[in-house]
Amino acid sequence: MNYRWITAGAIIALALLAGGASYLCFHHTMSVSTGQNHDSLMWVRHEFKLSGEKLAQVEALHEAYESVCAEHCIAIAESRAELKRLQDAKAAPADIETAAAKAKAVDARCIASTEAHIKEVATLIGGEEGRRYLSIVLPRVLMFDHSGPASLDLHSTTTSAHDIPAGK
Amino acid sequence: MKTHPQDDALHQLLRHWTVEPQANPGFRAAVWARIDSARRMPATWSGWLRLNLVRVSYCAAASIVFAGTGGGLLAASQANREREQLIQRYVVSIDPHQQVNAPR
Repeated sequence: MNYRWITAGAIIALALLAGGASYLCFHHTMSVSTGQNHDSLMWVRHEFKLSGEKLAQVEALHEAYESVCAEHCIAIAESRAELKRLQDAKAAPADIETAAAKAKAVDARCIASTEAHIKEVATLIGGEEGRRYLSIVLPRVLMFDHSGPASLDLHSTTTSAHDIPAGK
Repeated sequence: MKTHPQDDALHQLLRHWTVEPQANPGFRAAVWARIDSARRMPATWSGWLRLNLVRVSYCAAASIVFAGTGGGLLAASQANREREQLIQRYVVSIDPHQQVNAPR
């Protein structure tokens, strides 16, 4: 065999080795497919390097907010179901307007509550990291299209959305 | 055997066709150069590598840098994608609207 081809093969093997090693070195993020798939707080813990008392406080706050969030979920779904029911039944415009206003008020209350929770978590994290948390999370909540079509099937959401924090 | 009339014409043409090659003054030198190069070819791969050390080193270094950079960029992009998924999962867990609107 020509030495050139042997050399080319050796260089390719070396390059593949270097590429693989580089990939493994740089891929130091937490894997989505780890055993903690149901832990939604994993990102906060990892990204802001929370530990000890601060982590316990953030976890407690998150856990406490889960029940509030679940209540909001039900309120949103119910208000939208009522609005849809009235629209489908071609109810009086005044009734539809009242239901729409109620749904809007529920939406606004939920957004305000979520925003307050996010700011609370940011204050708990504190400092520059708290501001960074706020800059990452808050826009994702505020920019979300809250008027989108809702799924009214609450039974399938409760277990997947309000997940159990790690270690529970 | 019966021949085609066109074959006769072809034979006539071939009979009068002569090849007049142009003399290549460098031919002999080129042949000797190739023979000389084959003589200088090392018997082992390590010998060949030593002979072409600079070229092989450049080539290997460039390939390793290229592959290393590619691997790093791929890893970074994948890590970014995974981070984005985790952020989204967290945001969904605290935003009732995103839970209600989430596709099932």
